[in-house]
Amino acid sequence: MNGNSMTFDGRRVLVTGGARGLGAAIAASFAGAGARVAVWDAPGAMALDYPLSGAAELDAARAVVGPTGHVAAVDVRDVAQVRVALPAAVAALGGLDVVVCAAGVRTAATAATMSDAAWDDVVDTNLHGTFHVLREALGPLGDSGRGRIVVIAAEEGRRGAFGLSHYAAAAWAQIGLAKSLAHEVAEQGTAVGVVCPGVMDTAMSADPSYWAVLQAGRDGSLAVTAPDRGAAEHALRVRHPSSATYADVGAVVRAVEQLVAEPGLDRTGAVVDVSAGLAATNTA
Amino acid sequence: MRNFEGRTAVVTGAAKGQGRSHAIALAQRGANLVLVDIAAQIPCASRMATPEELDETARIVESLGAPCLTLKADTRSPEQMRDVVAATVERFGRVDVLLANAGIAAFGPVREMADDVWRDVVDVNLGGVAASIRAVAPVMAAQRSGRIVATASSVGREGGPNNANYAASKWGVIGLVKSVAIELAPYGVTVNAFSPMSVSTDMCHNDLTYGLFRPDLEAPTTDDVRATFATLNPMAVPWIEVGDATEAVLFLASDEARYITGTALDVAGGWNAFHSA
Repeated sequence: MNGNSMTFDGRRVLVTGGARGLGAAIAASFAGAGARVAVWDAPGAMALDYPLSGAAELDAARAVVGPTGHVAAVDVRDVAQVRVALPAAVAALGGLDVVVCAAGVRTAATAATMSDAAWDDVVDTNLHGTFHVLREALGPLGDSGRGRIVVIAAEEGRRGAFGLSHYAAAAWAQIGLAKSLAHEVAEQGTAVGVVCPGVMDTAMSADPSYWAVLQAGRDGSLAVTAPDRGAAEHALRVRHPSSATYADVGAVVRAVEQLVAEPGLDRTGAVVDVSAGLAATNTA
Repeated sequence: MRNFEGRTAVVTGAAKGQGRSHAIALAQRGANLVLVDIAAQIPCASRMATPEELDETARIVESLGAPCLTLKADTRSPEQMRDVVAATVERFGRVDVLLANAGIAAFGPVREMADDVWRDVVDVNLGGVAASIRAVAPVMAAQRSGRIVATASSVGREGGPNNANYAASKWGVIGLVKSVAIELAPYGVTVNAFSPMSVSTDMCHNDLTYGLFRPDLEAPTTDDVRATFATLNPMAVPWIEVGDATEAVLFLASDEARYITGTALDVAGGWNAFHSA
């Protein structure tokens, strides 16, 4: 059951990246609140230092969404797959009211040392994947008349980030895309919001190359002898105004649900920070 | 003022528009020039430069006495950009300035946006800037000096209806620049974005753009769109001139801007005053 007693009875929700991590928490919360939920995940191979979801995670998602839900292996980088999968999800759910774009990956490398594949994996998934899904979803969301889009970006979309220039660029670009789209789809009754989570305790954060970036400090100046999760978590506590190690997954889920639950368009175009207090360092 | 005497500057998108203006000004101020342009049309984009225009930029630059290397390259290709940097180092020994200026525009609502209209605009404006920066970053870090200026846009500071591809790409440039600024700061390399309003070039003056500003007219002329463009900023300027862009970019590339890094400099008639940050 979701943490804030919201009900989403009968609402038809697609969650990309919904079989693991934050996406799975979002899918489970909507399902628990009465929504009919479609989950996409299990993309093709990428050069990451943590495992992507696969068949086992999709099976678990099937149990979560139940018989009224829908689960499919979809790689959002592949526009052809998305073109086929979106109508299939809409057919399975009997329409579409909500899309949560939570499919995203992260690697860590400075721009001077970054491989071409590292740039492509992150930008293709996080930015192009978001576009592919949203473009195909706009028709069904318009038919709904109360469409809701929530794009999961990242707190690195609010500032520069050492060792994460590809991830930051994609997150900033996701925000630019979402704000542009908010203008375009208001007339069809669709609201667009962005949630920027800080670092969460999910599979994505079980990544030694990412620990090393955290250990180096926000300006990358601290010497790192070896990646160490404990040292990375200490660095997070030091950096976070809340003094928490991680941004709370439940808090991020609630932010998503609040944007979805808002009945009108007053919050369209908004960017909501759920980042263990890092919003205190934002200029606006 | 020869404040770039002996410096080597790589300018992408140098065949015309802002890039040509930057190149000419750098030549006048003493720089060695590396002129990079795809010099070919990408189908969805407003008119792009020809090989003849790239040659013409080279001719002007050389007539000003500037040593000049002219390279046809597609900024979307990291491999080609690494080749550009290698050729630059071979010819001039170093790279002092990168103006990651190459960009394209094509419009439409997301719902109807063709694959190439999304992909080509994002790949050139963001991917191409990233490929250019990634190619030059190791060289500038090793030199322990350098100036990188990437061209963003006022549309990188807010949402742009019918322009989501362009807005996404330019927001992405600012996030990229701020990140690389942090990474290269210890090496004395500054990395900034330049965020202009419409600049009076082919990207501004074309049927596609005019149609976006005056969808009510069949074939809007420059006079038809001037007032509409001018509503975007409190100074009520319809578009700035390339020289206005060049002055800002060259300032960011100059010694005087040594402690300016990670910024996005708005040259926008105050449009930016409407923005939250």
